[in-house]
Amino acid sequence: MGKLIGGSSVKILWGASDLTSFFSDMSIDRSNDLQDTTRFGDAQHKYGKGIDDGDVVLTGLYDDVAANLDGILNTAFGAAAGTVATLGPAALTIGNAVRLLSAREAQYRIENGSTGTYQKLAATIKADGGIDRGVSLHALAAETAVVNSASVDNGAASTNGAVAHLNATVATEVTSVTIKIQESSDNGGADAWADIMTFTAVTGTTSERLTIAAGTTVERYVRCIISAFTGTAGKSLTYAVGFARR
Amino acid sequence: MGTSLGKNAVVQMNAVAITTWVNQADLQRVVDLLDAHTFGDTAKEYAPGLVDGTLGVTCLYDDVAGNIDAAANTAFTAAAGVVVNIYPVGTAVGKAYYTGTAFMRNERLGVNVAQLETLSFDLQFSGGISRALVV
Repeated sequence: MGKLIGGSSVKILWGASDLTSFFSDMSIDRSNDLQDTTRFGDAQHKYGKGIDDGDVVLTGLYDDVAANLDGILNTAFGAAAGTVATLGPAALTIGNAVRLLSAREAQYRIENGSTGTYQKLAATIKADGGIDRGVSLHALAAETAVVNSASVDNGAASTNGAVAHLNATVATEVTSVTIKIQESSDNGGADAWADIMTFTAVTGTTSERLTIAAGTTVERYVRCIISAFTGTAGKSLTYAVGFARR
Repeated sequence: MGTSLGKNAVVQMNAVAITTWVNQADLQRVVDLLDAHTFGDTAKEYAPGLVDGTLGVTCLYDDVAGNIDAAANTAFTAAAGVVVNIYPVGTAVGKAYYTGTAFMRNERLGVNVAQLETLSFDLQFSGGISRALVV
């Protein structure tokens, strides 16, 4: 058995915010809408795969400070665009599994318990376009210059495109940062690293979701890099990158 | 007597032995019983129709490559389903086991700050479940 993971190691990135410290419980549900395809002559029910769906429920303590939980979730409630949400069940160490979704709040509940208990907040989130399982390509950590992060080996190439998230939560003295995802069939040996995704130049805290079209091959190894980093003397960007093959 | 502790069960999904992570596996086989009673009957009568089967699995979550999270994701995304084998009392020769092709209907990753993370999922068999003996 690999590592057993206590719930305390989870990471919850919501757009340009790290909401981890506000929550104590999370459930991530994925479902297939299976269709009954049984026909005459069959002795058993048969099924076919339908459309995927996904839901996330987050529960934590209510916090009304504008920059904290209530303020952030209130902003997202009913927003026109989904929020770039990256969920790390086992922290965001490079190679660890992540769940990626474009999150839309479906329900937002503030629970006022008895006078002697803390108020709680529960958010029910619908995944707009399903929930993808992927890997972290960069932990939520600070970089101050151009850098090549460690690669992740998928064991083989994949052939149905991908989705990637950038969540940048802290930006200090940043003018512009270019973050890319690259691929190689042999970890940068004879097959040099090649760009497959380029996030919009980062100028402050931000989040972005990119996709590679279905049917596109992604090579066995992927990594993320900072190819350009400009700013003043104390420049620093804290960000995470998640990548999911489809 | 062929009774056994649950710890002896073996579960395989898409040729991956996931037993190491599983702490509960519930196999349910169902027959559609069709109400065949008519006027004059004093009690309901039934005729067997199509058979069906599901497997509910609960695991401890493990995201290491090749372990339960990866295996479950493969099953979730498999367009044609995956082969699932359940050995209730182990894989010794002569022991009964159940096998079939199944789709993952749903998956839940549960995280609580004070507990081990869990991964649970429901598998829907397509085309029935076969019972056989290990050879």
